[in-house]
Amino acid sequence: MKRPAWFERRRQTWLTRRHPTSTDTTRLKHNQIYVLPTGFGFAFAVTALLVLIGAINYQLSLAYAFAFLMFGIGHAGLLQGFRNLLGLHVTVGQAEPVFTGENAHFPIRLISDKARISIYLSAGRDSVVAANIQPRSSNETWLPVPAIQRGWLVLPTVQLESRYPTQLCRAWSYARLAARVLVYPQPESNAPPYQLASNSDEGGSVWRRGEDDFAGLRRYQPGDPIRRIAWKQAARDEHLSIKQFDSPQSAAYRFDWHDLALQSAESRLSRLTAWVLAADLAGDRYGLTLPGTTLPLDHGPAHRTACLTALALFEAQA
Amino acid sequence: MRTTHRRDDLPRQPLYGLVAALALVLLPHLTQLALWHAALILLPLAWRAWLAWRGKALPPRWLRLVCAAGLMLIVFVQFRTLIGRDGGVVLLASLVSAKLLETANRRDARILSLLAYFTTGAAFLVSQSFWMLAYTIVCTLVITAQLHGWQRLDGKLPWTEYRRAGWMLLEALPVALLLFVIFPRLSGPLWQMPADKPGASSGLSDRMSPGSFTDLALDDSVAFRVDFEGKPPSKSSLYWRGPVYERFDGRNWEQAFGTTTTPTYEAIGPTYNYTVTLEPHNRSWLLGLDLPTPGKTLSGVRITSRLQAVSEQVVTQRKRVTLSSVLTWKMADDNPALQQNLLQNQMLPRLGNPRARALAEGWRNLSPNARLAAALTFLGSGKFTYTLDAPLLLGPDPVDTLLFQTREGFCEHYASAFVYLMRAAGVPARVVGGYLGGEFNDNYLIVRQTDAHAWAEVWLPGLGWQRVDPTAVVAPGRVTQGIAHSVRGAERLPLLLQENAAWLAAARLRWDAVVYGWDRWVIGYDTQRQLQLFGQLGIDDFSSPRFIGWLSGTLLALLLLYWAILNAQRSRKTQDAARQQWSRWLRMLAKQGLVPSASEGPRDFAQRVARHLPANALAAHAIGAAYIATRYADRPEALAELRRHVSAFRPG
Repeated sequence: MKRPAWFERRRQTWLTRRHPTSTDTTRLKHNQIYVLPTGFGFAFAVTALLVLIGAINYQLSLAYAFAFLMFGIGHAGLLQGFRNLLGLHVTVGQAEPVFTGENAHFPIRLISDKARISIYLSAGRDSVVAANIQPRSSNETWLPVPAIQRGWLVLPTVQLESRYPTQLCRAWSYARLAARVLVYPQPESNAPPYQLASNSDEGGSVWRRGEDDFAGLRRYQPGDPIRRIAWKQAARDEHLSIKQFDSPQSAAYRFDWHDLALQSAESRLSRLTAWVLAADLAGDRYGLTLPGTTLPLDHGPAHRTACLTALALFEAQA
Repeated sequence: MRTTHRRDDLPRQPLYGLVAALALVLLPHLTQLALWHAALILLPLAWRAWLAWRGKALPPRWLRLVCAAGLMLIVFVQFRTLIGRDGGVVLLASLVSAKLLETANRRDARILSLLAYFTTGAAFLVSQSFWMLAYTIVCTLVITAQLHGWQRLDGKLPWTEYRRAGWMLLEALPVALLLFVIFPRLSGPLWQMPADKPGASSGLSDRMSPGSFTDLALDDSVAFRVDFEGKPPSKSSLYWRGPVYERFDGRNWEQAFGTTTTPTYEAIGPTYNYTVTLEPHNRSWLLGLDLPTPGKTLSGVRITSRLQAVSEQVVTQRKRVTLSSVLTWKMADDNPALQQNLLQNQMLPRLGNPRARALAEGWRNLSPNARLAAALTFLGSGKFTYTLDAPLLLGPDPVDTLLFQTREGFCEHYASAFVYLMRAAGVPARVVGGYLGGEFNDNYLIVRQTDAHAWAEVWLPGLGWQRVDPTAVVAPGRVTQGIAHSVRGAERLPLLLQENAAWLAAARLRWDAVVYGWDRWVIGYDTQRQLQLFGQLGIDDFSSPRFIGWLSGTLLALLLLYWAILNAQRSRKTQDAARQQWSRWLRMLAKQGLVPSASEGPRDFAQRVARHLPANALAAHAIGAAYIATRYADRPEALAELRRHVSAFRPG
């Protein structure tokens, strides 16, 4: 069921006023927690009513008492759910940049003085994670948020929800945390080799496979060739690493927006992104030219990040 | 073919919790069944637990259906119905048990939990004792705790969940109490379920055979309890009048049911008002002192033409009735319609008991009063023994055998023989069953089955029906002192009635007072009690300002209580821990001569420490900041930092 637009607008205004955006830790206060019965809670109430009807019919005083005890339990479930969220501290860390179409993972840290069980975090329908927190400790969970568009992805309002302990009630709250992550354009799959398409200028070095000088390690990314994985290193580390090579005689390429014979801006960006990644992987030197921006020939992780950032924020600057 | 095996995705620990909860919940209902039936109902529970333990798949659908249908069939065969109170409850128990076999996901488990709650509520159909309430609270705790297990991410059911469930019950208590007190009580059933067969019950029956009261004397369960308004009558006049037996077949006495005219009577002496709390006996008669009068009697109670107080409905639940009685009276015999009844009360079987008949025939010339006196003199001659070990009177002439051979009998034997003599002598007479005496426990009277008694009523000209107790002349102590003092064979009586068990009897009386209070204020909390309680609080009407005041006051008090609890719980532990670390640090500094002054806050003091101990300046600032963050900024995560800095602090 889709909510009408006016309702959604009002809701957003109300949410912004009630849950101000926090750049630091936000603490869930009592007036920021909402509780409503779940379907199971309604079924429970119906059961209690049936007990009550039986009590009236059979004139069983203790069955009256039991029905009322059930109502009391429902009420206690409400309080427990409320307290499972009350006073919870929420803060967010820096997320790693991602490519469009992937999930950005925001590290959400939950800090609590007491044990909290089965807290569900969500930012939109497709991103839900659950967490337990031990008393006087914190828990970091990675909240996935789909990166649909390149550019800055702002962390949406995070909903914290608890149906613990009884599932009779659903208690929830919102945390508006100031966090954003850069989303790079989606690299074009099966992009033509950049060696052929782009003009190799500025010194006209002979291109060679840059595998002679070992230059260092960088973190493995999906798509990297398996034969370049540093297996010895992998046995020691938690993550896989890729061996990188420095080849001073390697070719240099300039990737120019204007040279591409593609229709849309997005597909150009997509192609350029694919080339930047490929050239970085190959260890080639490369430069990037976009309308209004030119990045010099260089190589290495910092250059790669600079290029991808320029691609991600392209339209915003133009 | 589609496979009907259901994979079992349920975590084991909560599942075991669910099985345990169901077993607990079913137990009160299973006690009402034959052992084999109870075992059959428990079987699916054990099976399901075993499947989970071995990690096996659930049984195929046809087997589950066979299981459920089989259990239902057994219920139908046993009860001849699937609805109604008893059959319905056993059906519910069977379905709960069968449902567990197909419980394969958390949703099923939750639905089953709801059924478990309902079945727990139904346990009060079995009993409404204090113990049953305690037991159902345990059941509720276990059901609620396993419900928590289904919510956990780790699939475990640690003991802390039972503690949490306990807390929830404590939190539920004020709400439950408030609702219990103020929820309006309806005074009649909403609908009538199909009549349930009355179970076997002890107590008087509508037929009196030789030996039937002897059996009752051995049963010390409570028959009813009485509260008197004002001073109760003396113990020897506490004849609780029950069924009136008028038809005699030579051996057994039975009630006659044809209606006759109610004799008009004139009360002499005071009227006693009292409330009888009757244990269920599955009969319609009530027990009132003779003679019950319409006085304060409520609706639903009727006085029959045989001067019996009866309820309009069979008493299947503990029942409280208010009755009025007079102890002495005079009846007019001018009503010709009554003669028919009086003639019936002189009838005897044509044959049998020649000697008794001959004895009574000899009194025919005397006045009715003199005939009565003669019969009592005969019984009071000292030749008769009042005993629980009366021989069986099996011959064709039981009255003759009793009066002239064995001379040993219990109250029903003497009442029967006496009425036989009176009828043979031409005096209208009948047997009355009921209870005699009782035991005062502070301000109320307990009457037990042991006090069951049979006596006679004879019609005397000018006086009407008058009570005559032949047992009183055989064993005068029975009326004045109770059964244990007067009967031979008293060692067969229940232990607590025997004279040498005084302390036990005292303890039992105290316990009975608790039970009776429970019955009056908890079980018997009905419209009447509710109005009485509200009346004591000064509330006469639900819409009165006073009631609204009480209600809102109570609700407000509850809310304030919750608020206080919430506030007290909020990070108090962290703050205490922070203060502890701070004090530890202060103790270290006190050795260096650094003590915070009264006007110095933590920040100022930390700065002073930093100036005095330059080597520790950084640590001092960090401790001050962490302490402030924990205590005042409500940032519990700073506690660990505070602890680390204090532990690492080395002044100097």
